[in-house]
Amino acid sequence: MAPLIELKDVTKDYNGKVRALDRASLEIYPGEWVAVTGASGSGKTTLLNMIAILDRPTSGSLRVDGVDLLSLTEREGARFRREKVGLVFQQFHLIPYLTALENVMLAQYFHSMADRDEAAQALAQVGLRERSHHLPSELSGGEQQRVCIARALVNQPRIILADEPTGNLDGENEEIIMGIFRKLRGAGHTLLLVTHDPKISGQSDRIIELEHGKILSPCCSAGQRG
Amino acid sequence: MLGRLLWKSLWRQKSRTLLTLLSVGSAATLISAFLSIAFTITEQMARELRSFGANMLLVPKAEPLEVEIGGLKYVAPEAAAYLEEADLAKIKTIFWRHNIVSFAPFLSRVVQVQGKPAPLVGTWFEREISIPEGRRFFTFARGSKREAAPEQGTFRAGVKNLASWWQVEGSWLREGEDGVLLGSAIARRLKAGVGSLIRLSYEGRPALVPVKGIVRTGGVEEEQILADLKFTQELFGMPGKLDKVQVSALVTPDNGLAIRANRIGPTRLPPEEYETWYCTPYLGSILYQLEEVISNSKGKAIRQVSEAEGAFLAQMRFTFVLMTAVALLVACMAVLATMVAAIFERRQEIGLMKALGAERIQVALLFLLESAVGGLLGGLLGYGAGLTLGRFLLARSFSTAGAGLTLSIPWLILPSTLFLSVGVALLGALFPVREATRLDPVRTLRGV
Amino acid sequence: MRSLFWRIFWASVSQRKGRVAVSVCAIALGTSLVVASVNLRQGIGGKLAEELKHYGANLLLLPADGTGLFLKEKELGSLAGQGGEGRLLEYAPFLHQIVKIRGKDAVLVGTRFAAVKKVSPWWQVEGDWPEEKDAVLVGSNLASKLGLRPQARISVAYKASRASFTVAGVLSTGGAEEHQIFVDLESSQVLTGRDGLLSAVLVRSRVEKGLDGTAAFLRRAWPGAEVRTLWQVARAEDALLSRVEILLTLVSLIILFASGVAVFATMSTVALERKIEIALMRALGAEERRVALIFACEAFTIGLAGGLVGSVLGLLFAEGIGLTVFRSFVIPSLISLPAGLSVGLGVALFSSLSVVRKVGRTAPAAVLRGE
Ligand SMILES: Nc1ncnc2c1ncn2[C@@H]1O[C@H](COP(=O)(O)OP(=O)(O)O)[C@@H](O)[C@H]1O
Ligand SMILES: [Mg+2]
Repeated sequence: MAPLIELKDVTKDYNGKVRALDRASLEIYPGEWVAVTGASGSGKTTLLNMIAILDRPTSGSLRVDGVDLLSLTEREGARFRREKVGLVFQQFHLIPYLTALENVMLAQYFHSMADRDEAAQALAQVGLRERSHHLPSELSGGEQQRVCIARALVNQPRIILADEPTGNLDGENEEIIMGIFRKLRGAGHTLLLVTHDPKISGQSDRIIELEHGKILSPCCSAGQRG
Repeated sequence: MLGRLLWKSLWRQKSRTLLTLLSVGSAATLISAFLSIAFTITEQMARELRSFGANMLLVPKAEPLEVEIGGLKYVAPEAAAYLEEADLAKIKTIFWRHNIVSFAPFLSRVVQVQGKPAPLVGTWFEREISIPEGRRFFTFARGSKREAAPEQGTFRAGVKNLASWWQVEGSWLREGEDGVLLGSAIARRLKAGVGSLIRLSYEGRPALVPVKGIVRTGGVEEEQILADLKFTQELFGMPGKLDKVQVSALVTPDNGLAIRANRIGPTRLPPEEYETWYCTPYLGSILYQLEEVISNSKGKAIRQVSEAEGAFLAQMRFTFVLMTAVALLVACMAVLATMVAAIFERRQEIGLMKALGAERIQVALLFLLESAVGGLLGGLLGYGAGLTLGRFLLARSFSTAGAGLTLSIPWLILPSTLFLSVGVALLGALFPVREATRLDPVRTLRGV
Repeated sequence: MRSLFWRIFWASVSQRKGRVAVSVCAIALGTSLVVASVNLRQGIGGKLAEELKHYGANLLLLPADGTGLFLKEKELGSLAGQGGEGRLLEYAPFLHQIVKIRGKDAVLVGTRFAAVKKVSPWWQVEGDWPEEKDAVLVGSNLASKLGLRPQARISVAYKASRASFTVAGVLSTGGAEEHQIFVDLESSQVLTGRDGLLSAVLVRSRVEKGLDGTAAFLRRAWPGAEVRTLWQVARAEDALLSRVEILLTLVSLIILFASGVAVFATMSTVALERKIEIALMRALGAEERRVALIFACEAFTIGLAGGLVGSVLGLLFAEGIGLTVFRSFVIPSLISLPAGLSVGLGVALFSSLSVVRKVGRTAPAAVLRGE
């Protein structure tokens, strides 16, 4: 089977000094759940940004679903994101003047057509049925994070890239989210999850550990390790 | 720490700093350009108008009664009075010599041309005179000394500079050249054209002169025969004599002092007021100074020119002052808007500083200082740009705007532009900073 | 359900009231300046042209060669009927004659004082302007030669006829008038036996109608008169007007430019905070065009609102200046509204779209990190 995501020697330098990713090579297969761990500043977010083509590597090659991402224009990159990728940001990035529901609908709007019921359902899924008409400033950090997750899921993307999606959640809510992720994997979605929590990475098929931008253990699966 | 914060905030957020500078800068440009125009436009216009007719007239003190009809002017011989040609160059030695733009002498009598009476007017068409050494220092009653602007070299006098509206077909007369210019009306009556010879006689003395040009002015000159002053003096037997002198000089509009001087006579002013009056280029004081150097003369304002000019220029200045006021107001409000917008975006920052334990005053100080720096820099940039622009505009609008302008830009513009820029930038920051520092940090941080 | 597009639009306007208000204000201010300056540019030129009336007459009518020594007063009266009232602002008739006063020759000028005041506004009278038929103005030089003061009685002789007058005032002009004596036109016609005759007419024409056209009109309407353009006045007026015109145009241009820049700065400052928002939309897969459409729509509304408010404000400014300086209204210029609106809209669209473009050129990741 051909890998869905394929990185070869991807390097990303900032200002010519900071090397955020150092010759990272990686293959992820369809339906896989991969956990990304590593110290803060080790390049996890950078890795996700590369795969979502939110930023371009300094060198190396990058293919997703057989498409060379580096050959895409800006417009094609946007199309790739809205059709194939769901993003959960570390800092949530909700639009401050739109309600929770509208923030979710925004993703649908760019994807195809806004559908209030589907969006409400996505919010209900993350346990926010009651808060759908609140503005982000009226929600707690955990609630904002869950809106962000609902927004990433609402279009049923093939690939979900989540940057510390449970960082602000209590145990109960974390369990809800993990349940969603398990269901997604069951439905054949591919997941890439940045996390520090061994409990979460333990549920993944495979763990990738980053250190100073280098991938330490690209081959080992969680099962083999455990 | 404050300086460091200030610097970092201005430098790190280049876009925002740049936009603030842009806003303050453009407002300051507007303000200083308008101020420089409003301050100098009257002077520029006045200078421009000086080639459209003399604004002063010098006649003999015992001005004879002229009986003039149909362009023919008679003076009873026993009443005739004259000025001396030899005095003319002294016009450029008065205290306000610098303001004398041009002058021309006249001597006229009725002569017989082809058996009919016609006025013959002698004048200087274009005459280069060398400026005599004049007094440099003028002392006044209280013992104070004032220095007059030095004038050296030569000066071009004559009607050609005084009367730019004359349309001459053929050519002007050169200095000492034999021949005459004919007013177009009399030329038509005499059926004379450029090149024809006409026969004149004055009290039985004949002269045969060629016509060098035809003059069209719409005024009294249409009926006149114009010749070089020297020629008429010889024909009339009045060597070195003049009837009158027209002078074109730059003047300042009359104010209270000038009006009082005109009413009671300058010599009755208190000494210090007299000195101020004498050393201000009012129409009256220049006339007075001219009377001082031209013996036996009386100065008069040619009211058609001086009044019309004064009224028009006052109106125009008023218009520009009002436009400046509107531009000023609007520019200030625009800066205000930018500052409000800029600080508005930084409410979270303010909330954070307060959360970290900063005093309201500390936060306010930082932001106000930042605005003041922006205002100052923008104001300086705008001042330079506006001055250049104002000068450019004046140069485009007036042919006479040139080197002289640099001197006359009032120094007032820099401080007032800077004052406004900084003041408005501060004012613009004050309101949102006050709001934001008053809010409780939890709310600002949440972005409510 | 309302489309999400309008929902986004409405939410961003209603939730960001402060910012929107600042933007609308900035646009309104900029527009008001532009509208005011366009109106002034159009209106003031005309108003200042009217102010040139201080220069007095710009045309002189004399008897044409070969038609005798006089003009007929009757024909002057008929000018108005031939369409002259639109072109002629004022005219003053004159009848000159040499008379004897206290044994001396002097020039007696008959005229209409009400008209002279307008055609020669610079005349300065010490005493009063004549009101009665037997009141006269005496030129200052003549007055001093004859020892005349206001209220003095004089007797004027022409050939066999005589008349006596009261001196109302003494006249200073700095010109030939100082040697003359002015009486009411009818009185001079009666005294000299020249009923219905004139020797000259001074005309102040409306500058905005064009001097040459008015001169041609007079030649056509009054064949017995020679029409002379007083070039001194005409040229000075031309010079003044063209200078004022150029200056006003250039000033309008600076205003246009400077207010455009100032408004741009404000709008961009407001738009800057939305960089993250824009980058987020792009991260969610929106094409730049789509983001641009959302922002353009909002900018359009803000620009329109600001432009309308500013146009009204600008018109008020212009009228205020017109009323203060010229005591009359400035006729609103038709192009000022489109000019003002297009500046408002243009700057609003340009500034917000330029931020969208700027974000579009950087990688979304960089913007989302808050750079
Ligand atoms: N735009 C940037 N400019 C400079 N350095 C950056 C930039 N983005 C990331 N870095 C640096 O790259 C490294 C990796 O960052 P990141 O991928 O965000 O780490 P993390 O693993 O915590 O998500 C860090 O050292 C960070 O400081
Ligand atoms: Mg990270």
